[in-house]
Amino acid sequence: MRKIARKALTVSAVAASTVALTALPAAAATITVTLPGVASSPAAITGQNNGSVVASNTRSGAVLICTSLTAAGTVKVGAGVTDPVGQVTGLTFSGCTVNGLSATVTAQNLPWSLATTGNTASGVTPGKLTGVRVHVYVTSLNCHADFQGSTATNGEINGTHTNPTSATAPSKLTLPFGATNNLRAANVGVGGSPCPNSLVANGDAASLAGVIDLRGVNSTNNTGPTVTRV
Amino acid sequence: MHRMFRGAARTAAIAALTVSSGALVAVPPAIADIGADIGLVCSGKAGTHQVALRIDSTVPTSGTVGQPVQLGTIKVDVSLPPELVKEVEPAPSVEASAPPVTGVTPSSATAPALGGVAEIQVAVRGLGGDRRGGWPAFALAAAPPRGDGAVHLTGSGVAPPVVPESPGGLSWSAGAVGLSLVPDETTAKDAEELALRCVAEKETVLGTVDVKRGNGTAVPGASSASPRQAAAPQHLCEMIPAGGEDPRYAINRDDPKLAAIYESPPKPDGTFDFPDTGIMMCIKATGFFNLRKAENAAPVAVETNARVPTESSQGNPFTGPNWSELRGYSVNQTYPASATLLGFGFMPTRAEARAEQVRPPGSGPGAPVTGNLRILQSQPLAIPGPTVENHEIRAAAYIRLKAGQTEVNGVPLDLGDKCMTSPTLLSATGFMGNLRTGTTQYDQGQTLIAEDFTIPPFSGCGVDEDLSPILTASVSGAGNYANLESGRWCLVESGHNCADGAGELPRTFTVYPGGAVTAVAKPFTLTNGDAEFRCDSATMRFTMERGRWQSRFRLGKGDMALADCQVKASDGPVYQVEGEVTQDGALWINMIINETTGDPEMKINGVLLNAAVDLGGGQKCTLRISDELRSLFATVDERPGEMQGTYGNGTFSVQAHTLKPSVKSTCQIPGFTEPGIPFSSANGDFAFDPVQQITTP
Repeated sequence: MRKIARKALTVSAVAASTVALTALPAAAATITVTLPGVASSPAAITGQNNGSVVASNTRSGAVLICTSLTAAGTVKVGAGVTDPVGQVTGLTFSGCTVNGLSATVTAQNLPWSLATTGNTASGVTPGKLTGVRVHVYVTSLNCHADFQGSTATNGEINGTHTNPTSATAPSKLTLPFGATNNLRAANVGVGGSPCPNSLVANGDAASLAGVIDLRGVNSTNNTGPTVTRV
Repeated sequence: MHRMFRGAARTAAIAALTVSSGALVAVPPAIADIGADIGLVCSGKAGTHQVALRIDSTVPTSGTVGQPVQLGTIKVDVSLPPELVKEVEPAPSVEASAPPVTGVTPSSATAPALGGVAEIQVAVRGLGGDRRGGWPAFALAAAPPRGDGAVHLTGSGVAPPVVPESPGGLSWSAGAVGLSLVPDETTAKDAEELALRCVAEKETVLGTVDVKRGNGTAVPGASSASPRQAAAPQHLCEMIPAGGEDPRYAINRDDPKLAAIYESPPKPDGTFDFPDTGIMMCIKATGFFNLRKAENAAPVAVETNARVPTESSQGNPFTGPNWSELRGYSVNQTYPASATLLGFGFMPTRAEARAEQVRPPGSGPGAPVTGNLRILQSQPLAIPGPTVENHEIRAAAYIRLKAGQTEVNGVPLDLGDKCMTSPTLLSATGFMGNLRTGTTQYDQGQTLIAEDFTIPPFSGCGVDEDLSPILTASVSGAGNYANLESGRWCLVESGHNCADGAGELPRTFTVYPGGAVTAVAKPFTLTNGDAEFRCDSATMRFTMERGRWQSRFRLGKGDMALADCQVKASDGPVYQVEGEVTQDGALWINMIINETTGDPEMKINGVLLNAAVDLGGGQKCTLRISDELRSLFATVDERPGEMQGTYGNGTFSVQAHTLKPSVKSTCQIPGFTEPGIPFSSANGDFAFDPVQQITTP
């Protein structure tokens, strides 16, 4: 009997503590963004690819590579800023090929938002781009396709932001190999020729990878932004 | 002698038909060379002499009723026997006859002191009748001796255009020739003229243009029919069944020779292999065919209907292999082109032939009639595993050559309608570049080479007598060679990259004068912020082949050296470069067409610079400038870079580049230490000497 009562007490205690934990309000993350020499917010930043930007169709194996990417955007500067901390207002891809064939890649649904998704560790802050939608056109095949979320406006790509390593260095926005995303092919072949099935079909997912150097337009030495979330 | 003459005529005809078929399908280029060697018998007060006359020019491959047809510059070469030359010497003073002369080719210091005038009677046929061509008199000057014992006089001029009044063939025929010789054109007023009247053994056809009606009615040599018309009269740009629809149209894996194109290099493990229906492509290519036995060459062309890809194999860009392979199948269709050749160097022969694609020998009626295609590419990334070093296209098919309408000196030679060879393998490859040369995409066209093509024995030739053994003895054999340039690949179903519903003609370039070329920029600079690499001069040296219809890819090859260079660090100090900056490996000139402006642009590929920098205090370092080879997230090696820009007025102006400090640099100079960061600007105006005219087509 005593044993049963002890068990009951234990269960109640666990349950109570669980309820207590559940009832606690989530601790609000504090985000601080600095850009040396810049006081106004939001502040202009630019992005430049560091290496190629690569995407691979997980079904067909088709490979999209862009050798150049330039971006323009803004970042909120100060202590206690809120997500999204940044925006991508302009984005240009060039030198793109799909399976070796020339392609144009166009960012759509701009501006995209850049938000943190976790706390900073060793200068690295997890985050995500939202509102992502890109249009891919394989010129010689006259093949069009969009990559977007379940709607035209809710595409997301997860990645990380790495703070500058020196007073003159950029920060880095990294889409690591296998970066999770909800992008799927849509509108394949619309407005052009049917796309080869070995290239892309509606619903295809993609693995992405790339590194983008971020620099402040007006920051000292054009240093990139430092993001700290605790 | 008569018998021998007939044999020669037949052989000439056969050589012409063989090269005109070209083993691949034919589309004539926009401009065609014409010409002939004409044997003349010349009489005058010095007696009778044998004189050889060579005429060369160019014509458009087609014309339109009511529109003028203009020959290119006409070049004449008169070959005089030594005994006739002696008759002209010594030279008393008598004024030469004075027709309106044109275009004297300068003679060299070693050329004989002899000149003259040639008047050639030319008839133009097909204007709704025969008319005189109205060719000018050609002023002749002596050319340097050629070691053949003859004295050559050369000249050039331009004839008035002719306007055809009806469709069909428009041809130029040379007849009698008036020849006036004087010891030296510079002293012609004091020299005695030797006047000769010359006749050719037969009137000689120099060349023919196919003329179409103004409403665009198709004629041989003109553009093809609509790609959607599978039964179009000329069967060009036909739709062929998609992958999986018809076993007769498929990749042939059973014939070992056709399947061999897939064996080397072998496709590695780890690729995404994906079947597909294949996009319907239509491709034209033009070029030349060397017929080994005839020691002759002639323009040929190809039209290919292809399905690509019916199989796609792609490596994983993150884990490897670095491999992109497309496979498909094709039908090479015959274009009704004809060629005019000189059999045995004197027999003008016009012949038409076609190449029929056939099933492999011994295969059944259900076997594929198609040939195999393979396209190999890789990504410009450091990706683990096997890689494709050289981008290339391979094609293999069985064909047989079938003789068509043939004329020798205007006289039809009836070979019958069953004159053909047995099936033979046609295997062609196209190099599409590598990291050094730069790469070109398969759909943009490429150079295709068929080496050691074998012409099998002929059979069924002749009506009254069996001419097959003569054809076989004359042209059949191994060691024949074809070199063709293809145009952009036309997407038949959408019409994308198509011209009049068919494949585009190749985008070739003309280089003049070619040869050894230097291109000097003063100065040449690479900057990145306050950091600057500066040379007082940069000199590229190229070898460029003179000629027309050259591939835009690898148009020239050369090297580079930069002199009086210095390196300015981003924090201020300036360091001198010891000696010349050298280029590692070859540079390549590639031409591209700017799709926005339509203008040709130049690319210099293979740039890999090596500079020895004096840091002072006895310290030195090596600054290397190149492009980078990256894995996904890091620079792992250097690779040759490229510069791209405009070419005009003999000057290449750099407008874009991929140059960066190399990961193999040993210098720790601020502004030159981060290998992944390209120079923000490159400035150099390379003046070509001699000035090269690089034009398209």
